[in-house]
Parts: sequence; structure tokens; C-alpha cells
Amino acid sequence: MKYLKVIFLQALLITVGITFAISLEGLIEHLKGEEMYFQWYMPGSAIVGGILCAIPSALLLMNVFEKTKKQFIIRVIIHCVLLYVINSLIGWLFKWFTTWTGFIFVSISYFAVYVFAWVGGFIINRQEDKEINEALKDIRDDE
Amino acid sequence: MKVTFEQVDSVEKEEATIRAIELNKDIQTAIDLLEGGIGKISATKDGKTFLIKHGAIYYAESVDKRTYIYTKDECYETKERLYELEESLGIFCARVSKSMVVNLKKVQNVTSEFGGRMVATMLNGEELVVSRSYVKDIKRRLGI
Repeated sequence: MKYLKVIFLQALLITVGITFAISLEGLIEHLKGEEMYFQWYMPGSAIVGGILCAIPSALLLMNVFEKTKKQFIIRVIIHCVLLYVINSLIGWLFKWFTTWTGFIFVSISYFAVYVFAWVGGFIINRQEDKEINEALKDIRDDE
Repeated sequence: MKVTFEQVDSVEKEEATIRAIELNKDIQTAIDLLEGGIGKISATKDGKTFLIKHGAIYYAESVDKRTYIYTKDECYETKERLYELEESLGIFCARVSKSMVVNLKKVQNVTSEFGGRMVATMLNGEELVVSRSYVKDIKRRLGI
């Protein structure tokens, strides 16, 4: 049940991320004066991508913070590469990109979102540390 | 001293406020009692039995179905189970992993590493890993 919940939440997040990247690609093309039209299967492809990426996320990153540093780094690298391969394959299959430029754009977007997710998480955690440390001051024993 | 009791409907709302001219021994005892720091736990070390004050406990750990209590410099074994310790040590005793409970009053600070792992540094300099899944409960206990 815990795994299903994680897979569901991850699928939602990744679907939003993919939709954002595709929308951004459309906006850039529009600003460049080149109209871009999406096929009927585009929203569905984002959901399929989200689900397919969520499964390795749940399997590799569940309780990853409790692993040793080495295990953590190995799992994150495998996760990053695996998701990139899945994204690229789905992108190619569902025509998220049709040219090499499009593929490079999707690749850059992927790595940018991936790094942003970790950095964002780190910033949120540091904020949480501050709150906890402030509250600890009030109850700390004198030694 | 006038004492007022007001019933609330959840643990989160439980709170005690003491208004006094100064923090004397009696009031400190009352605070320790309410915070669960006044009791004692029977524990053994090198074949001898000791009574460890709740307030002296830094953390407790369960290893191979045995429970160990850690104070500033010592380690003892107790027959109590981890969940029993968690209950008897009071609101500021929080679980930080499946096999460990920590006395939050003995935590110097917490730091998150880049990977998300949280490390609690104790007043004696020891570092303990805090599982992310227990952070919510720690915050609740601290009233955040």
C-alpha cells in the first residue's frame, strides 16, 4: 500500500513536470514564430511517462535517505539515468520531439528539472531544520 | 497555588502553563513530572542494576530484540521495550527510526544533508540519523 501511494504521488508529480516541459517547448516555438501543434495523445503520453517513471522512483528512492552515502549516490545516479532513458524513449515514441534540437531541449529540460527537484528539496529541508532548532532551544537541558 | 484543570479533546491540545514568581525546586519538579522526566528506569551494566533517571537518558536503541539506554557517557541494557520507553519518557521523547527513540531535550541541533538525510547532534557530541518519516512527529512534539 505504501509503495502504491508513493507510485501514485510520484506519477502525479512527474506528469506535471512533463506537461510543464512540453508546454514550455510549445511556448518557445510560438515565441520564435513557429507554431507547434500537439497530437490527441499528448496529454495521455505525459500520464504514461509519469507512471513509467514513478515505478523506478518508488523502487530506488524509497527510504533512500536511510542508506549509506555510497548507496545513496549509486541509487540516485541509476535513478537519474533510468528516468532519462524512459523519458527519451517515450518522447521519441509519442513525438515530444521530432528533431535533434527538440531532443536536446527535452534532455536539458529533464536534467534541469531533476537537479531543481533535489536542490528544492534540500532548501525545504534546511528551512525545516531551522524551525526544529529554534524549538529545541526552548526545551534543551543545561549540561 | 491555584490549580485549574481544563479538559481538551486531543493530545495535540494538551498544554500546561505555570505562572509563578520564580522557578523554584517544586515548580521544576512539577515541570519534570509533566514532561515525563522524573521517573526512573531499571537498567543493567556489567551485571549491576542501576536506576536511571528519565532526564538522564539521551536516547534508547533496540538491537537484536534487546533495548539499550544511552546516557551522557554510559550505555545500559533494560528489559523495557522501545515503545514502552517512548510512552514513559514523555512528550519530548521522539522516535527517530524504527529502532531508536531520542530525548529531544538532549539534542543540540539537527542538520539535513544534501541527500535529505537528517542528522541530530546530541549534547555529548554523538550524531544520530533521523529518518525523514519521523520528522513530522518530532515537529508535533515540539509544537511546530
